[in-house]
Amino acid sequence: MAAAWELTAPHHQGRYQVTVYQEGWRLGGKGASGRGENGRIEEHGLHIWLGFYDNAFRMMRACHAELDAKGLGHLYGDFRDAWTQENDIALCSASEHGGFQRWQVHMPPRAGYPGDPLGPDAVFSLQYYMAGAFDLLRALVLDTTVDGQGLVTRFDKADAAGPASAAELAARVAELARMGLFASSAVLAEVLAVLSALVRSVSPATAGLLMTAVDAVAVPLRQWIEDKVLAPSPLRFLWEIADLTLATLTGFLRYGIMFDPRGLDAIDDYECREWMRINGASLRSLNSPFLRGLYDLSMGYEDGDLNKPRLSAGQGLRGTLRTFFGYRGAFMWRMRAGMGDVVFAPLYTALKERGVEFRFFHRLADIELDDAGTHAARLKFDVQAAIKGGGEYQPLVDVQGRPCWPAAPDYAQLERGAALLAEGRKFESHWDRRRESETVLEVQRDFDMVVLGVGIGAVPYCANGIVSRDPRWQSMCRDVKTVASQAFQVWLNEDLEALGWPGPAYITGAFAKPFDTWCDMAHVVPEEAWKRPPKTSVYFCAVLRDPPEPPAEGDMTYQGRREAEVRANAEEFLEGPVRAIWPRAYDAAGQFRWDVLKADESGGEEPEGRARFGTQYWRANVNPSDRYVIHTPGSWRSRISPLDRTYDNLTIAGDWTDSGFHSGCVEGAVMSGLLAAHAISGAPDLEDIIAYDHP
Amino acid sequence: MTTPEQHDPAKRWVSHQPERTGPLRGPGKKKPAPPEGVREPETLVVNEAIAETVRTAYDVLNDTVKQGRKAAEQFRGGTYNVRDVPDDVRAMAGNLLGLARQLSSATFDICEALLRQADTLMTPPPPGSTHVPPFQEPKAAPATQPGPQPFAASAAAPVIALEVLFNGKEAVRAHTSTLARPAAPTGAAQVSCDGLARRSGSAAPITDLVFDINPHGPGLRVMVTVPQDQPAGVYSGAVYCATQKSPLGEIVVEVD
Repeated sequence: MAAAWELTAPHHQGRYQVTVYQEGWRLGGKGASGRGENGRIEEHGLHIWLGFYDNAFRMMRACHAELDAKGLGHLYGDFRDAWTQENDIALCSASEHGGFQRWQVHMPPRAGYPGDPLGPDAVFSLQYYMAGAFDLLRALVLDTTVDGQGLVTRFDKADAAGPASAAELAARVAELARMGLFASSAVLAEVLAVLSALVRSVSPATAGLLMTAVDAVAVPLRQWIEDKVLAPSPLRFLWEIADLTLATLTGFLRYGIMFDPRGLDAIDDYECREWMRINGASLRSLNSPFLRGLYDLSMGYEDGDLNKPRLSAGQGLRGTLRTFFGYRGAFMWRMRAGMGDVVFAPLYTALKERGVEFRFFHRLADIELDDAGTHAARLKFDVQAAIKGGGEYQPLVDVQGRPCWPAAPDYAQLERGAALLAEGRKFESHWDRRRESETVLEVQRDFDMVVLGVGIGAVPYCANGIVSRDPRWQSMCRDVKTVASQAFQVWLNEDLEALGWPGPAYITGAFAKPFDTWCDMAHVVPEEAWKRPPKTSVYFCAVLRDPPEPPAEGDMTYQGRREAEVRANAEEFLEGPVRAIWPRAYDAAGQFRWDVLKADESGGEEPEGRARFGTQYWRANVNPSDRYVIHTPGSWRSRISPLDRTYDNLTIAGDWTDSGFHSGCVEGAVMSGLLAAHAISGAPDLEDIIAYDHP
Repeated sequence: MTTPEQHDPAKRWVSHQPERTGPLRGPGKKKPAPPEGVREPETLVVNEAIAETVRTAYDVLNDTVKQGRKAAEQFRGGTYNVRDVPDDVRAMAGNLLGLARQLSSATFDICEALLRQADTLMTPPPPGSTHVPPFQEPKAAPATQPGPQPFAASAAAPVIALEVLFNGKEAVRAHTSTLARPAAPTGAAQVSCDGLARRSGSAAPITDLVFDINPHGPGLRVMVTVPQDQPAGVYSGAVYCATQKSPLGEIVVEVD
């Protein structure tokens, strides 16, 4: 979509005529959402835009502004209304006393907004990040709270509460003493970490004696300090972050990354935690909720296997540095409605206004090259449904006065619509290959240039003509890994505070498996169309482990089986781990109160017990094109850039390409789309793609 | 898909020839001025850095002690106003927070100095050669369950706890939970096991065992990788450490 947006930008003066071919009835791919019963929003998962998504925000700000100028705007008002700003995050860790401990961090708002032009003094240097790391530590010291208790606020409260009693004073002084002990112990532990990091690097041939001596003394001593002084402290979270930060800085210096022309790619063959470990991070820190939360958020588990956390060090650090030091305005931005509503409906509307044509229900079956293998000669499509009267499918529906994508197609617009509905066609399922007809597009007759914008998981199935003969594409399909994911949403008759969860509606990570990441989405409920709105809705998501053997082609029961698995996971999750965060969602007998779930308003009898979960929403993202892209060590070598000219009329776009930012996210996808547009038209300038040249 | 509006229909349209096909990640082409507040790293030697750290710590502690003494003198003299308590506490807190920050900064100086001095010796290990165990999943343990004890608290115990984790084949159980405590201080990397041999009948031994400090509890943990085709049976092997000749015990696992 970003490529279409850029190629139809006004400065091209209509030079490019763009047609988008889309399987099924809606745009958005992994970011698509739909409106179900009661206009409720049904997402693929939990989508949060981070404050450094400059290219993505720049596109969407321009889109909203363009619609506004044409009198089609104000779908959600200004972009600052379409996205709500969020600076609070929470992480969970196992408490020493049983249950979970909640770490809450407030990230300070920063100047500007994502997508603003960068000032001439803006830099993405690693020196800048190193300075920022210390500022962050300072902010964390001042703003971190553990189970609601701040570190500095307790002293600030003294003014309001009046003179302290002797007991309070003694407690505060004791706490200060502990803080002093903590600080000095942390420093000692870090020095020992550097020593042990050095020891692990020293060649036995040159310093065998030193290695044995220091390894025997420094490592156990550091472990003793960690266990005796640091681990029991409520400041442990800070120490873990400091430890990881210093390991990163140690690694930057040691590997000479600041002066390496490859930037962080120089260490992208290492696994991220492995690289931290080599540079002195402790095992305790490598298991910290902070790091676990980042892996959870990135779904960084190969095959969805929680025993295989695998993210490459270079991109992992690039993403972390940009996340914590590159955001503008707010740390995170949550969409006010579904991603389909806030992003893809405005894009679709604006692109239509620009003259872009859309062909829904077209599934790409293959790209055939010419005999010499220099360019795409034919595109073969399966036509999943024909539009009545041969016109263009009208995909949007009105919910609360706003254009939205429905959760199911409008069969009334389709030829044989009633029959297709009765047959249970699953237009977005990879395994449902039923079609109404085929169509073939020929180069020069029907098209000149191709942007392949499917998910990487779908490439072997829709570009077999290339993959079968091109070793680079084979490597890309093999090495750029994806994971399946699972998600569920519940609508609640009580808000989270009533259920026992204090605090604002922040995103929470590093929680119990299988749904480690969740977010209170109360802010989207007013956009839905309930007669009696629920108090809130909550979204959960995580990886979904792959089966030992992949499903057979044409196995139309596979998706249903995985969805049943997700439903069972979700029900067990509500009956189990959720108790730690919503204690009042359970009755006196300790059973989950299923009636806290709001049933739909169809007027029928409301199910009771576990069966009531059947009125909520869950999904298994197992379609090849829906699978989430991860960056495993060394995989960057196999990514292909949209700028690659192996095929002179074909480019690629998606977060799986060599976009400069190799994470599965909107920003990577938009950067890739901009590169694809550049490959075709020479615009935008590569220097105008923000952070494309990031180290 | 795009179609240029005006071009020769007999001539196939080809993509733009880009100036480059990848990002410029190095510092070479762009040479921006460092942001304000970033200073060039100074060349410190370890001794200087440590001395500076100690000086800083003493300065801050001295200020804090002075503050306390002043309050005590005022208290003895009867001039101390209880309303000053929060201010004094805040001042002390500020001093200590400042100390923590400055110590962190000094740590970085020390790290850098150590790295510079040891630069000629350093040969970082290759990717994939350093084992890190997977994340330990947090569990919602009942509140009455005792939490993990600090490692040092069990220093006098004759045994250390051993958590056995498995990778690969899933139907495997451990029958070992402790090892003898080594007589001398010993790092996890010094603990080893040559392999687990099947107790009855022939089968390939299980040889991939990696020991680590248990980050979530006392003692050690070992990751045992069991191939998917490992035959069923009971497997065992002795555990040794580099600091003594006698074994620390035996690991026993059962493959179903």
